[in-house]
Amino acid sequence: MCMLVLVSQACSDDFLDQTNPNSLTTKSFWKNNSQLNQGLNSVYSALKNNDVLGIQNESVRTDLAVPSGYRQATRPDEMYFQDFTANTKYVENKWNALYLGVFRANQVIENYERLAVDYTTEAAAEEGSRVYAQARALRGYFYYVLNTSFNSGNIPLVSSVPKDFEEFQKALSSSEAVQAFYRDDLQYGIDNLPSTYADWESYGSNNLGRITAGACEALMGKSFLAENDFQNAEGYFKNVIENYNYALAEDIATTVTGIAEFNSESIFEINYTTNVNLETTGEESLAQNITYIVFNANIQPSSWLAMKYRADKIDPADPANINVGADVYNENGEIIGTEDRMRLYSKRMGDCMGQVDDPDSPMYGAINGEYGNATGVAPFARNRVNMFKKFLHWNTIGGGAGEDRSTLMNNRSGINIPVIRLADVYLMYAECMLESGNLPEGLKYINRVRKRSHLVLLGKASEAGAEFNNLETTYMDDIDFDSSNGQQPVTVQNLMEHLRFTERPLELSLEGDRATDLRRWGKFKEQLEHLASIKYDYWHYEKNLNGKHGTRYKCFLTVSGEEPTTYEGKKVFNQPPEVQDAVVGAQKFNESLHAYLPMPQSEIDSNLNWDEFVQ
Amino acid sequence: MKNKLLLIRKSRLKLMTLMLGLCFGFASAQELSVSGTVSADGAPLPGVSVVVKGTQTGAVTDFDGLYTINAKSTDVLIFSYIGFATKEIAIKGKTSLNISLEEDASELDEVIVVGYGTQRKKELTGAVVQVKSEELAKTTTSDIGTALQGQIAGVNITASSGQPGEEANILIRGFSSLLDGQNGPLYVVDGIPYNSDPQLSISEIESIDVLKDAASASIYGTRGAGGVILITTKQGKVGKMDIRVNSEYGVQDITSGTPLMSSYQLTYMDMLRGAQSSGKVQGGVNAEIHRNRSWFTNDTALEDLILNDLAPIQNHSINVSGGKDGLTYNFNASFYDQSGIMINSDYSRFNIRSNTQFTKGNWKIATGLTFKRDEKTLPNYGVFNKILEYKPFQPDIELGQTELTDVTEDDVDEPGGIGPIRNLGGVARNLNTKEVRDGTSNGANIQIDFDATPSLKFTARGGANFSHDKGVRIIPRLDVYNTAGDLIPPNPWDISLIQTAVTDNNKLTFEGMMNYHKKFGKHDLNLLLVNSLEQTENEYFRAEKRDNADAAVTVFDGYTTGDLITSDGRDYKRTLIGYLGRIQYNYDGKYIFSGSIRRDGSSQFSPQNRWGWFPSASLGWNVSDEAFWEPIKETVNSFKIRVGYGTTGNDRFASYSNQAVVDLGQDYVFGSADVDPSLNSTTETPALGTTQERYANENVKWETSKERNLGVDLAFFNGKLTFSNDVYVSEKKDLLFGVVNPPSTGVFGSNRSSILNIGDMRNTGHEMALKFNHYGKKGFNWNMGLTYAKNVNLVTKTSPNNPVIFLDNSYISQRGPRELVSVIREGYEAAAFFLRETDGIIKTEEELEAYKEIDPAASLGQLRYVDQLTVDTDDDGIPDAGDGKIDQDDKVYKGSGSEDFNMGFNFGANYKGVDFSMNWYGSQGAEVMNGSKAYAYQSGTHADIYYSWTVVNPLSDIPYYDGSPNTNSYRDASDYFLEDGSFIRLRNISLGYSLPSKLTDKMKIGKLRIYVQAQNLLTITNYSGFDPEVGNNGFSSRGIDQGTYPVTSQYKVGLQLQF
Repeated sequence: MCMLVLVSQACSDDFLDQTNPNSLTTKSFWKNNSQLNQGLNSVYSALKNNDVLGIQNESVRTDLAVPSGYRQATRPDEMYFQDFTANTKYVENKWNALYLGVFRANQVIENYERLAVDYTTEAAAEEGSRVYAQARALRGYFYYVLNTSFNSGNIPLVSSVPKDFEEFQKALSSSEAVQAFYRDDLQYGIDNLPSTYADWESYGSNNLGRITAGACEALMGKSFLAENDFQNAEGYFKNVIENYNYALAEDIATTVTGIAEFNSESIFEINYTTNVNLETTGEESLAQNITYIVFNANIQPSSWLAMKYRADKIDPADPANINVGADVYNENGEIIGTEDRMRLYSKRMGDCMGQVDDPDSPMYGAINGEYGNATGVAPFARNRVNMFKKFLHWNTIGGGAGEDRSTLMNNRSGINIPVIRLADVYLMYAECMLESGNLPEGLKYINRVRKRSHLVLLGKASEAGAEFNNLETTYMDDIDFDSSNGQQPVTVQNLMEHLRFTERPLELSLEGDRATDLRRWGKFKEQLEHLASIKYDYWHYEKNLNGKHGTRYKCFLTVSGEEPTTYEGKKVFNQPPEVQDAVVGAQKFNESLHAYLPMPQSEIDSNLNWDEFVQ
Repeated sequence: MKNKLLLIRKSRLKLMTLMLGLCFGFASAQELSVSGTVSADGAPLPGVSVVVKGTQTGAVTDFDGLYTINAKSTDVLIFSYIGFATKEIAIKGKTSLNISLEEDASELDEVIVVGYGTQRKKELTGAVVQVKSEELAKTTTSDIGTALQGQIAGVNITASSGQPGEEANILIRGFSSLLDGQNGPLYVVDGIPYNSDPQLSISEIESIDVLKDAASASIYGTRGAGGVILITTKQGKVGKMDIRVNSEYGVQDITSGTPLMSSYQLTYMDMLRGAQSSGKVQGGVNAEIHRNRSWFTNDTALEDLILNDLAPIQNHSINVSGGKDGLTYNFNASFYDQSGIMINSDYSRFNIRSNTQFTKGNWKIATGLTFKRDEKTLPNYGVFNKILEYKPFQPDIELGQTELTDVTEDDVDEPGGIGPIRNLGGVARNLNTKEVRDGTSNGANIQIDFDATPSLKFTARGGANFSHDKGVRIIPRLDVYNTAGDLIPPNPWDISLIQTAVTDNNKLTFEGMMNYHKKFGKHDLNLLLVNSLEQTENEYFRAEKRDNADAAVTVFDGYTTGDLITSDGRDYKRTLIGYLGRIQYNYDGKYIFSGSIRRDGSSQFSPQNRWGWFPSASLGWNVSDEAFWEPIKETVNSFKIRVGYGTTGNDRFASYSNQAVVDLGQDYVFGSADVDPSLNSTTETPALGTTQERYANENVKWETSKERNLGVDLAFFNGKLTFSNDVYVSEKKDLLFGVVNPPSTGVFGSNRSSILNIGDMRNTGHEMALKFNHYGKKGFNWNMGLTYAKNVNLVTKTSPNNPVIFLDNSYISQRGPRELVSVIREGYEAAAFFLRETDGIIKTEEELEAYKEIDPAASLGQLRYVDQLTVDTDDDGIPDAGDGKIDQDDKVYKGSGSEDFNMGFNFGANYKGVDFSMNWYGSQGAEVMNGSKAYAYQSGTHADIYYSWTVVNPLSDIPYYDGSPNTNSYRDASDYFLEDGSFIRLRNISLGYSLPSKLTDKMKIGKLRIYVQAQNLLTITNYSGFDPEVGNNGFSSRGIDQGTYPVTSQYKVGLQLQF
C-alpha cells in the first residue's frame, strides 16, 4: 500500500492532467493555412444569420412592409410599432450576430499575424494573405453594419481576441473612430482581394462566393453615403461601375430568385443551399428561412409601397411589355382564346410583388389572377393582400403549389440573398450626382435601372445623356408620369424625391439599408407620418379571372374612397373601411430613440464600461 | 499472496504463533448448547440478538422469546435489543439461562457512520444523523431522497416532479452553489463515493448517515460542500439463515387540476372577442367553431386521455442473509414498477446486491456485487401542458394510432384551409411521442482489512462501477386522411424521427487507509491516514434519422433521410487524488476532539490551482458526565455540547471549463448549383468552419465553504426523550459562477459565460430534532419524532460586472413570452423571484387614459403594472418617482421558491400485533409561480377567462384575453401568477397487523405482517395548482410550476414475510 501511495504521488500530475477529448484546444489549433481557412469559413458562416441583414425587422420598421395582418393594430410588434428597446430580441440578436462575426474574424487575423512570419514558401504566404484579406474585409462589413445600425454608431471596438478584463469590457468608440477602423479593413480588401467572382474562380474551384475587392469598394462607397459624404462616396461608386465589368441582369428576378446566382449584377451575396447537408441543424445548416418568412406573408408590402408598385409606369413602346398569348376569358371565366396585349402592371411589380388582379405575372406557374383557393395552394392564393415575390421560387416551382412545404425541406431554402448589387450602386451613384447638381448624369443611371424593367424613362430623349433614344423607349419629362395634372419637368429636386421615395423602394424593397437611408435624409418620421396619414379600403375579390375559385377575402387595397380600376365585371365590396398603416409607429417614432437601434440590454448588463468612451 | 506476506515478515510469524496458541486454548473449553427465554416486564421479547462475546456466533430470539445457541462453558453471552440496556451474562457451564432485559431508550451507544469510520453517538462531535432501514421502508419509492423527506432536520428534500423514477432534490443546509444542478450532496455507498445518486433500492440499505456540517463533510474535501450521504448496505449476521420477503401493490391518483372552459364557454368568448376586435355584432362573427362545423357537439377533455387514473405501483423484494464463522452473506433482489399517472410515463427497476464478508484471523474481506437495470418511459416534452392547450371543441384523439382516417375537412373554402386537420395530426403525433431510457449498471467493490496489531489496522478498498444508458426517442409517423381518403400532408415541421442516445460511464475508485486506535487509561486516540484515487470516464453519442417510411418499422433502417450522429462534446475523463489525515481524541468520553485535514487534487483545474487543503476541527463536551451534573442526572440523563468548524469544496462544473477550445460546425458553402452561366463553380461543397466559440478561465479554482456549527444534545427520562439543537453559519467563498461576458466579445446564448470564482453566499440555519419513545408495560409502545429546520440563504457578493443574473431556466410557461423570473442578486437569497407588481384591471376609459402615460399601448381590460419608484428627483438618495414606463427596473423582490422553514412529524405506535405509523411534512413560506395557470391563461382556455373583464363584464378583476399568448396582461414575470406555496402534507399513513406467533409457528414461518398504507393522502395548502411542492431542477426553476408532473396520492396494501 505504501508503494501505491508513492506511485500515485509520483505520477499524480500525469493522472490529473486531462485534456478535452471533444475538441482541439486553441493552443493546438491555428497551426497552418488550412486551419486559418477553416477559421475563415466560420467567419463566412456568421454571415448566414438572418439578423445580419435583418430583412424582416428592418422592412417593418421602415416604410417598406407591415407584419402579417397587422394593419389593424391588434397585437404589438415592437419593430413595427417603433416600440423597440434595449430588451427587444431583434436588437439583441442582431448585435450578437455581428459581434460573433467580429470575434471570429479577429481570431483569423490574430493567428495569421502570428503565422505570417514563418511561411516558408511564396505560395503559402500568398494563400495566407488572401485569407487574411478576406477576414479583414468581412470584419469591415460587420463593423459597417454595427456602425450604421446601433447607438448612433458609437459601439465597442473589439479589434483582437480579448484576454484581460479591459479587453472583455470594452468602452465605446466614437462613430468616427469605428468608421476609420472598418474603412481601413475595407481598403485592405480593395487593395489585396481578387476583384470579382470570376477572378476568385482562377484560384481554383470552391472560391465562388468569397468577398471581392469590388464588394469592398461598393461597401466603402456606401459607408460614405451613410454619412452623406457624397464626394468620397462618388469616387468608390465610379470605380465599381467602371472597373469591374458589372452589368445589370435581365430582370430583377434573375438576382433574387436563385436562378442565376453570382450573376453580372451581383457584387456580394450570401450563399445558401439546400442541395447539400440538408439534414444539418443549427449553424451547420447551409439554408435560409427568409423564403418562408416572405412566402407565409409574415411580412407584406406596406399599402403605400403596394400603391407605388401599381403605379410603376410601364413603357408602351417597349415590346417586352407585351403579354404574348394572354388568355381571354368569357363571362364564366372560361378561356376562349388568347391575345397579345399590353401588361396591366409593370414587370418590376411582377418580379417584386404579387397582387390578386395581376393577369400577366406568373406565381408558381399560375397566373396571379387565376390563382385560387384550392387544396394545397400557397397562402397567398387565399386571402393575403399583397405579397413580396423576392427570395421566392415563384418562377421555378409550377402548378400553383407554392414553396416546398414537405417535412424534408422544413421551411428551408437555398436562394442567395444579395448584400449589394449593381442597381443599388447605380442609384447611389445617381444620388451623388444629384447632390452635386449633375442632373443628366443622375438621370442616366436612374434610367438604366428603369430601362431594365421596361419602364417609361425620365427626362428628355434629346438630352445628351439619354442612352436609350430609340423607338422602343418612351421618355417623359414629367416626374409623376401623369400629363393630366400638367407637365412637371424633371429637376434635381423632384428627381431626388423620386429617387428616395419611388425608385429606391421599388427597386430595392427588402434589400438595401432603408433605415439608414431614411435617417440620413432626415425623413424617417416624416415618411412614417406620411404612411399613417393615408387611409385605405379593403376589397374582396369575388371570383378569379377564370371564375373557378371562391371569394378571396380582403385581398385588394385602394386608397379610401377609390374603386379598383384594374379589372372589370367583377363584383367587389369593401369592408371595413379605412385601414391605415404605421399609425402607432409614426406616433411613437422618436428620432433620437428609433433612428438607430439601441445598444442591447444584454451588453449593458454585462459590460461595466458600456456608457464610457474610449479615451 | 497472503502467505507470502506472512512468510516474509517476521513480526507476522510471531502473531501467527500467538493466534494459533489462542485457538488451542479455546479448544480445551467444553462445547454446550445454551437455551432460554428473554423477557421484559414479564412478557417474552422476540428479536433479541444473542451473541457469544468475542466471536461471530449468534442467534435471535423467536416470537416466544426463546433462543438456543452453541457456546463453550467459559463463554459470555451478550443480549441486545433496541430500546433496552444490553446485558452480558457469563454461561459458567449452565445450559439454561432465562434473562430479563431492562428498558433503556438511550441511544448513546448507537454506532454512527462517519466518513472513513464509525463513532459511538456519545463521542460524536459533528452534526451527523442516522436513519435506519425501518424508517426508510415506510415510503414506497424508487428514490432515496423521497424516503428521507421529513426524517432529518436540515435536510430539505423536495420532489422534483411526480414523474416515475425522478429523483428528489436534496438540499443539505441550503444552497451550496450558484451553478444549476450542483447543490446536491455527495453519495458514498459502503465507502465508495458516487458521482450521482447511486439508485439503490431501499430494501438493500441498512442505514443512511447524513453528514450535515462541514466539520464532518470536510473528510470528503472537494466534494463535501453539499453535505454527504453515507449509505451502508445490509450485511449478513452469523446465525440462522434469515429470509425476508416484502411485497407491496397500490394505485395512484391525482387529486387536483387546472379548471378549463367548456366548448360553449370557449365559443362564447371567441365570438365576443371577434365582435370586439372587428366591430361587428356578435352574431356576425365567424369563430373557430363556425369554420369547423362538425366539431359543434364536441366537448373534449384531453385530460381524460392523457391522465391515467389509478395507475398501479408495485414494489417487491427478497432478502436472504445469514452466515457462519468466518463467512456472512446478504443477498437482496428487488423489483420496483410504477406506471405514471400520465400517458407514456413508466418506471421499472430491478436491483440485485450480493454482499459477503470473509473473516480469517486478522484478515477481513468484504465484497459487494451489484446489478441494476431500469427502464424509464418519458412522454414528449410538455405533454402535460397539452391538456391546457387543447380546445374542448377539437375532436377526441385515440392514442397509439398510426393513422387518422375520415377526418372531416369542411372548411376548405375558409382562410384556415386544411390547417386544423394538419394541426390535429400534429397533436396526435405529439401525444404518441415518447422516449424510453434503459439503464444498466454493474458494480463491484472489495474491502480488505488487516489488523496488524490490536491497535493498527490497514484497509484497502476498491470499487468499480460501469453503467450504460440508452435513450430512444421516437416521434412516430402518423398519417391523416380526409373523408375522401386523400392523405393530408403534415406541417413542414411535423417531422417523424428516431433519436438514440447512448452514454457509457465508468468509475474506478481506490483507497488505502491506515488506522491506529489506542486507549491509554482514560485517553482514547484514533489516528487515520487515507490515500484516495478516483477516475471517471464518460462517453456519449447520439444518432438521429428522419422521415419514417412506415409507422410499423421504427428501427433506424425504417427512416429515409437525415443521418445525424453527434457526440455533443460530452465525453470526459475526470480524476481525483485525495490525501487525508484525521485525529480523534477523547478523554474519558467526556472531552472529545476531532481534527482532520484533507488535500485534494482534481483534474477539473489547471495545474496552478489543482490542489486544495480542507481542514476541519470539532470539539465535544459531555457535560452530563461531570460531577456537578449528578444532581439532575436522573432527569436529564445526558447533555452534550458540540462545536465544529470545517472547510469543504466543490469542483462540480462542466469538465474542461479551464480550457479554451475550437469547435467544428460553423460551415459555409462556396459555389452554387444555380450559378450564372458565365461562371463555372457549380460544385457545392460545404466549407467546414472551425473556431473558438467561448472563453475559458484557466484560473478557475475551488469553490469553498467554511462552516461553523454549534450543537447541543440532550436526553431525558432514561433516554426516552431526546432533543438536539444545531445552529450554523456557513460562508461560501469564491463561488463558481457563470459570469456572462458582454456579447460584444462575440459570445451569447449557451456560450456567453465563463466559469469564474466570484460570488459569496451565506447560509444561516437552525435545526431541532425531538424524539420520544415509550415502551408500555402492557405491550403498548409508541414513539414520535419532530424535526424543524430553518435556513436563511443570502447572496453576499456577486460578480461586479453581473450584479443581477436572470437564471436561464426560470420561465414559468412555455406558451408565452418566456420571461425569466428568478435572479441571483446581492442581498437576496439565491434564485429569488423578481416580478412586476400588479395593480388590478384597467376598467374604465379614465383609468385607461391615466395608465397610457406609462404604457401607451395599453387597452381596456388589461392588467395594470406598478411603475416602481426608481428615479430620485430630489437628490436625497431615495428614489421617489417612477420612470414613466414599465421595464426591467420595475421588477421587485417577491420571495422565492425557498421555504422559511420546514417541519416533519413522525408518529408510530404498536400494540400486540397491530402497528400504526404516520408521517407529516410541512413547509412554510415558499412561493410558487403557478405556471400551469399562466399556460392555460396564455392558451385562452382557463376557466377564469370566462369570467374575465369584457365589455359586458366590466367589473371583473380577471384580465381580458385578447387572443394572443403574448398579451401584456399574461406575461410571466408578474405577481398575478405568484401564490403561497406553504403546505402541510400527510405524506404517509399506515396500519399493519402481524400474525401472532402461534399461527405463524403452525405455518412454519417466522413472521407475517400485512398492512395498508396511503401516501400523500392529504395536503393542506392554499396553492391553487396541482401541487405546491415544486422542486424541478432544485435551483433555477425551484418554485416554478412549469406544468410539472404532479406528485400523486398512493394507496397500497403490502405483505412482509420472514422465514
